[in-house]
Amino acid sequence: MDFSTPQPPRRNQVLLPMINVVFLLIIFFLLAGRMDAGDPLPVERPELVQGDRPPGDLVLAIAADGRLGFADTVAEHTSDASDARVLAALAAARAELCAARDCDVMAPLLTLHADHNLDAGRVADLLPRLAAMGFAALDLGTLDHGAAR
Amino acid sequence: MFQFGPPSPCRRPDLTPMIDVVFLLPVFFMLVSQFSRDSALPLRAAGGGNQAQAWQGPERLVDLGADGAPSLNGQSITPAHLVHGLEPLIQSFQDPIVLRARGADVQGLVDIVALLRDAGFTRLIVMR
Repeated sequence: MDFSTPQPPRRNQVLLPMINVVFLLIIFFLLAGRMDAGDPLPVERPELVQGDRPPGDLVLAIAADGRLGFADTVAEHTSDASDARVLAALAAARAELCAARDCDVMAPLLTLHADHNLDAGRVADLLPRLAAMGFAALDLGTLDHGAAR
Repeated sequence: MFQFGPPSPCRRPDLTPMIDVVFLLPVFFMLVSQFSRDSALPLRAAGGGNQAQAWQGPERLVDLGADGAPSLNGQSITPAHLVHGLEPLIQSFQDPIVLRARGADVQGLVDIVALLRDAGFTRLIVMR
């Protein structure tokens, strides 16, 4: 029988299982998570258990206080002038998109990222203005929290 | 002859900086990852689409109140009964239905639009 004091394990042998687990965590988040550019404004999108389709070519964000945001252009207030400035940026992006492809054949799809607490009347007010800009049919962006890929 | 001293034992590289970086990576991915799936609900603006088509049949006006409670042609109705209330008013599921926001928030609008789309109604017009 060997009753001698066992040798303490070497430092690397203690660390290896931890490093394995940490690498597995990294691989999990890389595969399961999704990273994309966020909205220019803080927007919590409404929840919908089963959505219909992925986001479109252009994304217009509307915060809970009604401010608009498109790409780098963010309205400071909910005034007509601020709205017009953001919508002008949206129209410019649409024109740029239409210069690259034939918008008569495939109209650019706009997705509205509206905060779930926003007054729906604000969205309803915007729809005719967006329709006049060429976005007659558009998508209201939602999130499906229950769907784990 | 030079004396180089006793040869030192072979040192293993220090793992601590690598472990630091490797721990930062899961923290980064945990913070930036999104697990909810993007989805979208098609909407149609009043005034968009084919305007040459005249309104057919009886009025189909769904008002969305402040708490998301719908009313059909002015009569308060529960969401569960909304589809049954609309069915006698349509000839086909392509008939337009006007949704009017009367204080409802966007979540309330999404819930009613999704309910009507799931029931088969395809032309939902949102207006103030």
